[in-house]
Amino acid sequence: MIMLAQEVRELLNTNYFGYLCTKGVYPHITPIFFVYDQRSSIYFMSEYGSKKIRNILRDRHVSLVVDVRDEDDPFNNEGILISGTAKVYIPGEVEMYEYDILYTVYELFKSKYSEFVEFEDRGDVIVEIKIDRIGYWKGPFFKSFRMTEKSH
Amino acid sequence: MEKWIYELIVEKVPPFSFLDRENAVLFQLLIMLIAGLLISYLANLPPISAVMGALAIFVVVLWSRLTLVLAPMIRTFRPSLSEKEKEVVENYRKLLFSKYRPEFIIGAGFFIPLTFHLFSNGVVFEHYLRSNRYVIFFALILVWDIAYRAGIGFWVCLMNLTRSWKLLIASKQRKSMDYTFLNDLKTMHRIDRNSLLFGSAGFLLLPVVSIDTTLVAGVMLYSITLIGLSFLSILIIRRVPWLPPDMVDLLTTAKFAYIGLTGSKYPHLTPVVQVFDGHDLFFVTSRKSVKFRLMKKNPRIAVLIDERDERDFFRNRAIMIYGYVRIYDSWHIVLHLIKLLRVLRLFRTKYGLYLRKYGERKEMLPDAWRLTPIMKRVPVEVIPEKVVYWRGARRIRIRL
Repeated sequence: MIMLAQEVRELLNTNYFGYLCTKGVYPHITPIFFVYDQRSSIYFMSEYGSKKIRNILRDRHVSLVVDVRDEDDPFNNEGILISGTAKVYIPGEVEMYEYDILYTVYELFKSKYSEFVEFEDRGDVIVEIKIDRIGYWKGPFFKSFRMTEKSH
Repeated sequence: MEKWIYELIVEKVPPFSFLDRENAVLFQLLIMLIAGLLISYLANLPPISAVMGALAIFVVVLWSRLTLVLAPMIRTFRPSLSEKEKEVVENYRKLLFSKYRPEFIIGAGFFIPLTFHLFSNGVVFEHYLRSNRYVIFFALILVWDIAYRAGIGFWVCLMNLTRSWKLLIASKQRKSMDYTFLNDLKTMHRIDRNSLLFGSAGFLLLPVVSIDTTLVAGVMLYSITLIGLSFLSILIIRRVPWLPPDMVDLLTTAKFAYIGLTGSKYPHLTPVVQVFDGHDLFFVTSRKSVKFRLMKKNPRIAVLIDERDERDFFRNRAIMIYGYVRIYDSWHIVLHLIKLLRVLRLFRTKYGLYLRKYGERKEMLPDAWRLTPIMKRVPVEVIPEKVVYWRGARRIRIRL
């Protein structure tokens, strides 16, 4: 199992918002709530017909920024840019072997965003972002990590 | 909604009604040219008469084309989200297409003194038409064509300026989400540019009337008036904010923006600092950055500016602007120096402390981060195409 760097994991585990960019006629950015599975995937949930889901169904390559920003000191800005491949899970249409994923993701969301979760017949779709590479910055310092098949 | 008489002719009278608007104008040009040449041949007029006649016909057709472009544009406006601005746009449309046909009255107002002058002075008729009574009759049809279209042009330019001025005043009284749609403001800008062209086309009549100083003065006065009215209208409409006060406030106060670019394999997303001068949004980037390279390749961009509250998600708000970038490098800097100095001042005011911190630890900065304006970092303007705004956040919905 691959282990992300400590600073990356910390950012993913302590932040509530991420910024997702998908590809369309124009690039599309949207703030999202997300959970991290502590391995190599990020998950978010969204309405099936939303622009980001429509974009992902056309092109699975996405980017996600999770950052901490300091309005007064640029040296305190810290963040990651994740480049990944998205996969959409539609509740009610998933394969048997994917039930575990859905269950785990639901639990993660319930625990991270307990006040903000509601239950519904149909439910949102779940999107998995399989991390392919990560760029990390802290102030002016930058490093990048690549998740290759080999490292899995 | 009413239509101008010329539009009705093109739509209802055969053979124009069988053609689309573009071809109808070309067909009109063809008919008028053939008729003109035929008359000039039969009346044995000098070649200069045919040439000048053709030039006058060309102006009529050019004005006809512009009229047919302007009219549908004016009808496309959607109701503004500000009551006062909605009223201004509605009145503008009503007056332009009024059932009292003001454009026709103004056209007649040009035609009557013009005809009177042509007969009393007689120079033009004598020079071009050898005072042939039958040819003069046909020439008067052409004079009416010119006068009627000149009437439309004048009325449109006058109404454009009134609309821009009233809209600017109304926009100063906006409440939080009041605004006129960006696309409608852009259409108004386009209408004004077309009107500018309409006025400039009038100068083409100068060689035709060059033998009569009164007419030269008249044509000059007409064209300069139209250009002046349109130019003023453009200046004013550019000052109408294209966003409601709520969004202007977010853009002005929020310190960070996220910019998304199409990239190659993956889209590229990165936080930047930005300034908004009430009309345009700017950020700066290094010539050595990935985004600079990507923007050069594909100028389409999405910019997200948000206010987030980790304790109460319902207080979040965000604005996303789709558009394309204008990179100010090389000769663009010289051309837009005043604008860029204003942007630099905005950055200094908004990010005073932030920039001081840079200065304090300059030696720690990588090359791409050095704050040498222009040399290393270039200003980038976002030209908006579409704007999306949302407040609060949608709950996460888990399937039962």
